[in-house]
Amino acid sequence: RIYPLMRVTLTTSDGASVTVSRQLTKHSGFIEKAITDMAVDDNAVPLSAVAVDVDDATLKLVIEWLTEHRDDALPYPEKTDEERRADDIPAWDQAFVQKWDTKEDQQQTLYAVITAADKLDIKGLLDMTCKTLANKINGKTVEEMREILQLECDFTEEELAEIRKENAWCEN
Amino acid sequence: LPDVFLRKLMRNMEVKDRLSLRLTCRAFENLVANSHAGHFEGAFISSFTPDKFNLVLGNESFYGIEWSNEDLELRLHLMNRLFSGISIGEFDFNIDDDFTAVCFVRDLISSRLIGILGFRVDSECQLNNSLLIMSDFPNSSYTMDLCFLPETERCLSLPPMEELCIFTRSKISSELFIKLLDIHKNLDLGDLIVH
Repeated sequence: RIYPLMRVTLTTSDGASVTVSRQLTKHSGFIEKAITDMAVDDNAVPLSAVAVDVDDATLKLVIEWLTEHRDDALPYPEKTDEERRADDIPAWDQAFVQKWDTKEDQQQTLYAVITAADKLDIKGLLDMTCKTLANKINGKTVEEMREILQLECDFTEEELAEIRKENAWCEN
Repeated sequence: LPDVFLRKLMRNMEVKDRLSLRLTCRAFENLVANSHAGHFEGAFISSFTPDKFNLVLGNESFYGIEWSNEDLELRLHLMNRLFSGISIGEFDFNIDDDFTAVCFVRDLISSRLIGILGFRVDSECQLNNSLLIMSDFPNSSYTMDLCFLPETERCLSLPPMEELCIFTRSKISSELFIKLLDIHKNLDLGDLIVH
């Protein structure tokens, strides 16, 4: 049972504290488990703050997303294999991600949010960021993919030639 | 990026993007090979041109691929480096009598998750080949466009199908018609005359 008015304090990896409503934290599998583990009575009040391995700036973004999605149904519906589309990101979420695009470190922000969604076990956010990155990669050249994914090519020229040769019959 | 995220991401990639991702770095070449490709609604393989076939997978089309033996291993190797698994809603086959083609198709789709296998069959030989492919997927559903009328016993031995269509100007007995109706979920007899 969730008590929406109950507030939970989260401490971030860089020492900040944020207090949020349980209505938001219920979407995080990690925080919910931590609360349950620390609860002393039926009111499920944690004894102390919940430490999250996420920095303050990223947690603020996560909380902003959770606030918008506070009324989303739980448990988060597991995607079936039939659902492949990445073009169904809600408008608010698109605007939320677009906002980072004005920043110089947009990619770092997206990666930080992805990592936070994974650590905090927020399935909806993980799903949305996954679709966002998929949309960024789809149809891009190898060089562009390396740039987006921040990858260094560690193949030799011979190895690259071999893979291109293997790819050839599909690409033609 | 978290491994769970990368695997999720790979389920959203098209074949063309997986080919490109193979070239980015070693880690992603391995990720492509060892990740599930996700679900594709449809796939189609046909051999309209002698010695060549066309393959359609999701939004990607590959035309005029040669059936030559020397390249088959390379193609299968590439498929195995493109994904560890794939789920296909409906895979339609229209392949000629060439047994090499059938062997290649069986290798190509072996261990894949296919919801419905659909066949267009023009001859006894193609019917045998289709049944061979079906036997690899006992848990899938089937549809078949039969462009000739096999003998009664043969007709009745066909596995239950989602839809069996028989497109031929011929006649069948009402007894056979009723039995087929009983075996298959949907039966389309086209211009076939029941007597």
